[in-house]
Amino acid sequence: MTARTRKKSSLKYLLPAIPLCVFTLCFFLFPILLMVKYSLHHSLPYGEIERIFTLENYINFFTDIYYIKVLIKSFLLGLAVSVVTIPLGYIVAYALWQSRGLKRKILYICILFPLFTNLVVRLYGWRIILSPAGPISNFLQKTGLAEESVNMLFTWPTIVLGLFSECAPYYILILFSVLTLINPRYIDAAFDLGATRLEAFFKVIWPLSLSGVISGGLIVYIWAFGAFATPTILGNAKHWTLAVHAERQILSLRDWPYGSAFGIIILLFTLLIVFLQTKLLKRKQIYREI
Amino acid sequence: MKDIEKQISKAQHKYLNGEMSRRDFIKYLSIAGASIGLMGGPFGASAMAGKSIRFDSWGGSTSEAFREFAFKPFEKDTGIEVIEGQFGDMDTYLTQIKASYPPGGEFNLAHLSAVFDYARYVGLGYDSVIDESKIPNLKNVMTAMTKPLRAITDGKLSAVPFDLGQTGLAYNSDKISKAEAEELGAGILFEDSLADKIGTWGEWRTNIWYAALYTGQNPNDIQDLDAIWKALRKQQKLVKKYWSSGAELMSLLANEEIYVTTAWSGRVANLQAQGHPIGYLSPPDTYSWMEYIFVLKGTDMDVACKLLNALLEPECAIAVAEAQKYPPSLDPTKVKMPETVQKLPAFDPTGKLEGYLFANPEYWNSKQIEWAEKWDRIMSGA
Repeated sequence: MTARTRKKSSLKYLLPAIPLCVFTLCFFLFPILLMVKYSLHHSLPYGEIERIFTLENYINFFTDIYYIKVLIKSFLLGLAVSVVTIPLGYIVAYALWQSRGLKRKILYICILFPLFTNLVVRLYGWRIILSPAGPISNFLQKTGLAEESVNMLFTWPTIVLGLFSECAPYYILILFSVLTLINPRYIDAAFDLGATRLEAFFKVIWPLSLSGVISGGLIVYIWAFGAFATPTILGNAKHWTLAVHAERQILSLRDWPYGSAFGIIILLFTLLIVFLQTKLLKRKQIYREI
Repeated sequence: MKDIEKQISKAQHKYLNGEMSRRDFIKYLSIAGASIGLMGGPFGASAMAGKSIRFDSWGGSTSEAFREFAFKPFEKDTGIEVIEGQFGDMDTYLTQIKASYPPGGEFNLAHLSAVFDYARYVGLGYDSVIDESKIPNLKNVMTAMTKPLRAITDGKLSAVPFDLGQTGLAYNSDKISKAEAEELGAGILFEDSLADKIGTWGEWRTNIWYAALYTGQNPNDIQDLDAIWKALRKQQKLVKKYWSSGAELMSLLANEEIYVTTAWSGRVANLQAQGHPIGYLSPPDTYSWMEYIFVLKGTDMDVACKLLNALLEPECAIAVAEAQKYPPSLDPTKVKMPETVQKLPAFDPTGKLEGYLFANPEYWNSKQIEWAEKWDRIMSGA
């Protein structure tokens, strides 16, 4: 094959990617560049934008202890949701991988079914379930476990629960796809060599599924770090993440440059996490092992 | 095609007046051009078409009332479609207006609250001039409600008053007695014994207003600002939820997630009508407001006037009032009000609105930038 034909052939394969590239360029990169531009402008008292170049929004953010605390809060929320989702999701993904026939179908439906409903509707569902007049509170009262109605809403655990329910299906599906790539002969070999079930899991399955855990965990972390709807609906003002503050800056306080800077800071922190994850995967040579 | 020309000439007018930059004007023309090709009109917004008009309101029971008792009959009678939009708070809606392209161009009528908002829209140049001769029903509207609007727009009107209400205090009457609530007054929102059972609208004006009442100050002339922030910080620790919409307010009270909150009088009346044990308290100097239908610049005035006149038709205004539970702007000395309306909170049989305390537009608008930001921080515990 000549160099010319090779080039032609690779162009042929690139053609189907063009619509996606155009879409990403128009609806992702271009808005982000616009946000970067806005974030480098100055906001006037009544929300007008002074189109001068300034770094003041970033300086203001990183010198304001209040927003640094919000950033840490968002970071910790991402961490908490990951800590809950990664092991619990692993158990479900593992069960799904091990199951066959009808059992697998039922598990699939259970995992996918919540995704058929709109996120806001699901969150309001949690509001009903966890409210003082909701079924859990009623049950606790009826069984004598609580003397009066219990309000579980607007707390950090509730927000973590809400985010867990949002992210878990995606994490499980990612992990499941990685688990299915594991060659069953490796596990058989482990047993043949006298490994117990636990040893086979920790010495064969776990290392081979680690790339799924890290990739899925990253999705969970990014999702929770930039969460907007859940802290707003299931939380209170003190639970607001950086994303909620970005919305407040843009919509309520009408400071578009500052709000854009918030958006860019969220993006940069997300990219930093992705970068660290890639480094981690490379160092552990996880891809190669699979 | 006539509408397209109108919109482009409107944008050109803005450009020539210096309200729009050359770059934005060219951007507008290219986007409009592209959308004509794609959708048959700039942005394909049917609200821009001659036989339709966009109307934005507060959602929930308010929107339902308008839809059922005003828009449906109006559409049937005139063939003009009313495209409905909703918003949760005034500041966010104003941002949406500013973000539309050209600013304000995608919106027509807005059900706004309080005179300070009227002043803001006028200040930003979104006002229009209503030809009052085309709205004969305007003669029935309380003069006390048109006067403050005229004062801002040189005797003319860019809106017609539609209803009035209060942001008072709602409490769960099974948990708090009427006598106890009345004794506490505005202090009920700062009561330690109700910790974790207090809610309030997450809007800065309402909370600063009630902090002013709690600290014994005039909300329209606050002298001790430190006392206000101190009170609000104390309250923040007691608050279970800062709600963000009327629907959320109703759900929090109905589900007993909170026992006491600042509340829009009409929503409380709606809860009471549904049989919930909710009491309403309007302490002295309760935050009162008037609502009006603002006509945004660039709206087809003939269509707007037709709809406004229909909305002020006593039969329609009363039906909407009964449904949304806010008394209409119609003067009770000129139009006979049914008992159901007379019983609504904030109803004034004299039609003069004396003794009602409204937010001073100049005072509150001048504080917005500083106080709104400060409030956001206090609300989140800083």
